[in-house]
Amino acid sequence: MKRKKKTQTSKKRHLVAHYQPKSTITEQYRTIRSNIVFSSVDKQLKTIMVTSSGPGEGKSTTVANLGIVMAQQGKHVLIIDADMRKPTAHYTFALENRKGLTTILTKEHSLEESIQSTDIENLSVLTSGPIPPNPAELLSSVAMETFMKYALTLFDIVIFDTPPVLAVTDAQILANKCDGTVLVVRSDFTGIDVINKAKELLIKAQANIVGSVLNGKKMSKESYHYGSYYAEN
Amino acid sequence: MKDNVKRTIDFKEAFNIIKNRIWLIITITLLVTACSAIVTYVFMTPKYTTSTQIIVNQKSAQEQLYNTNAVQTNLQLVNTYTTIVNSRPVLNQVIKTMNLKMSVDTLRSKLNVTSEQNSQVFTIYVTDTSPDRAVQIANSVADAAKSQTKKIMQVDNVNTLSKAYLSDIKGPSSPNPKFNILVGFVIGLVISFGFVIFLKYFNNTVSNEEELERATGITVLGAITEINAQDIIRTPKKGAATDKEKRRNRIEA
Repeated sequence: MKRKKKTQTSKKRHLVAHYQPKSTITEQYRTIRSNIVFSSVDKQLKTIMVTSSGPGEGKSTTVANLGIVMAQQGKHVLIIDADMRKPTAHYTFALENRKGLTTILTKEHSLEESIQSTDIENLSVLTSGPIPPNPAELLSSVAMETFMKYALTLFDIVIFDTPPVLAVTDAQILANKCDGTVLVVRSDFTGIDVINKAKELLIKAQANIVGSVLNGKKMSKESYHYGSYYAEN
Repeated sequence: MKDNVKRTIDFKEAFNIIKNRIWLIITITLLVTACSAIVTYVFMTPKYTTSTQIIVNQKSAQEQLYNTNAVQTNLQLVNTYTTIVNSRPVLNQVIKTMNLKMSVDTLRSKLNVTSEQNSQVFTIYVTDTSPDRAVQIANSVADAAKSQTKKIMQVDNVNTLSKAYLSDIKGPSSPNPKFNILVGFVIGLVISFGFVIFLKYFNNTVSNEEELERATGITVLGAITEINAQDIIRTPKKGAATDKEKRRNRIEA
């Protein structure tokens, strides 16, 4: 009984945009969503990848909530947990992880078999699947290209949650394939030189860096007042 | 690949760094100033200074005072006498007469003998924790100087111009609280600024969107504030109307 309660509260904490759609934080995710749309004037961004310099900066939470606010607009959104080394999406959305990205890429299962729907309308999640020994190879395979093309026929937007840029090369591989890359930076946490190193690696991979997200910013008095002006709760 | 990128800080950034840490600066400065005040008032013993003035001249005939040569000799003697005042025989006499329980060196450290240029007058300053004792020592030193020079120099030409009086002393000469507190304040400022600079130098992280954009050149799409604090503030009690709803209901009724 206790364990169920714990996953319930932690799920609620992570999926703020769904459980507290009128909160200030959800509005912040909506702002990011708008800014992503605004910054893609020439070409519409259909595949977006979210990464960070190092671990623990809030990529997965950002991916989840960004996906939710996009789905709330009526878009068909697919969140893919492309972090095949430390996947967390199945925890966030309380889903099974027996089938996922890895089983699709190894042709064990089809896309339709592997994606799972969520409580949130228009939002589907493709978990990572069982942890493979060769994530980078899988991501750079032809199967990945084929899969991505097919996914775009079924969904309006595909959001990838990836490993950190500096840890492994997975993020670089995906950045090369995605329309846009978003870099999550945790406030008071990541060193500036580390962020710039990650930026360098993404540029080398020819990523289209759409912008950055500052996560975990300490709330100032001003932002609280402005934020509560529109929020109703 | 460069590890430490050298950055120059412009005035606006420096101002922001100080502004963000202003409370730390104020706290440290106040703390150091308060320490300074405490040390001054609690730990420092007040000392009092008094003085007596001695004139060197010759007791013989009046005319000799205006004799240039005599005046010159007297001026040179002033220097000699100031040395004599600090000498062991004089100080020992003072110690014996006043029954002081201190060494010659200690007594000497309480004295400050100065002579005005081109003047036959020299001043003996005495500093002590007791104003009473300071006055007594001053006058005793003057007397001892007089008697010892008589004995040593075989000439009686030292006279007291003005004695030391207790009423001369208006207050302690040290410590100077205003000065100490000011010094404390300045040192506090220096320490606090140094600390802030130290913190900034080693804390290489960003805490707001402007810093992030300036440091990386990447457009900032937005910021997410911390979730925990938000949750606590934003979760309303089930069924309870918010203030806005209550007001709306009242108006509509």
